[in-house]
Amino acid sequence: YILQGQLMKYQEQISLEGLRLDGRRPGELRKVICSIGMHDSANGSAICEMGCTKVMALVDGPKQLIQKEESPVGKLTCSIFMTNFSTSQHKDNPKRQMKMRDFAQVVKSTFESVVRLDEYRMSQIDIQIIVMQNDGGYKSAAINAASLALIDAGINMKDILVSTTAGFIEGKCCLDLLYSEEKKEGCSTMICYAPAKGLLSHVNVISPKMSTPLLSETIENAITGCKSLYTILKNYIKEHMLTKYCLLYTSPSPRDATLSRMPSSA
Amino acid sequence: LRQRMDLSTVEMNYIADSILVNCRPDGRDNLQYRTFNLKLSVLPSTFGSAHLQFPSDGNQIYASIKAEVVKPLKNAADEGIVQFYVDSTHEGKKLSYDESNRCKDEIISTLESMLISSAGLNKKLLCLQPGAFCWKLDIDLLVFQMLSLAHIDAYANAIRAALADTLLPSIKIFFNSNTKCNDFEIGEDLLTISQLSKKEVDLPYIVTLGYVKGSFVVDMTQEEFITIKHKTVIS
Repeated sequence: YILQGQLMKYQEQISLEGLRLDGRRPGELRKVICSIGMHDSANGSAICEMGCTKVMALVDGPKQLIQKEESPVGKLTCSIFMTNFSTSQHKDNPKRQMKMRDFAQVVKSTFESVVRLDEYRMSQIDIQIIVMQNDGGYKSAAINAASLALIDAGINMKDILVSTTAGFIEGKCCLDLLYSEEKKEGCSTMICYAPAKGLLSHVNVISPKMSTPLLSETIENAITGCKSLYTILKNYIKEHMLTKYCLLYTSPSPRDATLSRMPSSA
Repeated sequence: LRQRMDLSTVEMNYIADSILVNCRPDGRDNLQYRTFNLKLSVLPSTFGSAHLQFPSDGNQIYASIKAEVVKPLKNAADEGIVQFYVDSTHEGKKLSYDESNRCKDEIISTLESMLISSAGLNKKLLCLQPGAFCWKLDIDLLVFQMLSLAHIDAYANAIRAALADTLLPSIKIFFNSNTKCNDFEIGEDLLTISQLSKKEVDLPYIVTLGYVKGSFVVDMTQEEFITIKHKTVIS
């Protein structure tokens, strides 16, 4: 993102009381609403809404992989689909799909570190992400939705991935940036965080220049945000699982608990 | 319309017989529609949107309407512009790129011919100032299944709901002395399309009727659609 500060009219991003454009404090996340498992035809589905940003993820698999040579691990494919009506201006598809391929690679490699692909030999897991509304942080919402959809599909994972954006606006570190904030500052970081192990899976920094201490402060703030987001997502997952399926711990150690699917009792 | 699903003659006979007995494979009567859920205003950044969901086969359709004020076309100076876009998340799975494009074009042209007319959505209603400003409506459909003409009833229903939900801001046109030409200003009121045109605007329904040996069939599934040879689409 290139700073268009000279051309745009000066608009106060943080008011005197310390509130951002939509009335949030700098370290506050937007309202997160998730719906899991609304799509029957896909193995796993989830919609993650972070404020106005709405992203749906569909997971298909594991299914048979037609490949000539035997591979010890399974294959994870990812495709991103951006709708015409996702941004405030209506755009046609073709230009977007080029940019989306890079992000698809990013999502694929991020989830390859978390999904236990060695348990899915000769199988393929498809993740399809549909960005319906983009109001800033669609990449984070995409990763959150994909995590939830993988859980809904019952895919074996080491950890759940939680993601949020963070950036510096007028000297204050803010979480969960809006589209206008991202565009204005041109300086945002997106991190993917694995809460159980406490490890960062992916860090994406978009900034013209950001000094190292500022970057580490941004990442720390983003990790705090991810932890609170994790508790929110965990509640949604629990609610969904208890209403639909029975929880089953198949492994001796509760840390490596696998959520398996049982047929829903009538 | 090329067959996307290959049905054997036995299956076709089964479906044809079930229609004659007035009990279709999913248990419906010939003239019975599937149940659906409809939610409006699901997409916040659009002017109007609808989410149509069929619980029986898991099909979901999102229709969204975005609008902007543009200069009208030269050969239709007193009409607005309406453009349809159709997208499916199941692209490229079974069809080739050309076939899916052809299917999309068919659906778009059918929707255009049926819904945009003097009886339906009249483009003249979208005109703000002849030759200078008009509304351009971008109507999008996002379908979570393979696109097919069999479901065009559902697509039209979704678009109809989204249009009924659309609120467009009122536009005031004034002469801007700085730029020495007409300029528009976005007003504060939000109007529905009916209020904009100052009369009741109702989008027509599309009904696809199939005919098999004396019985009519409505709201067909994909298998029935391929089986039935005589079909008319009415709006």
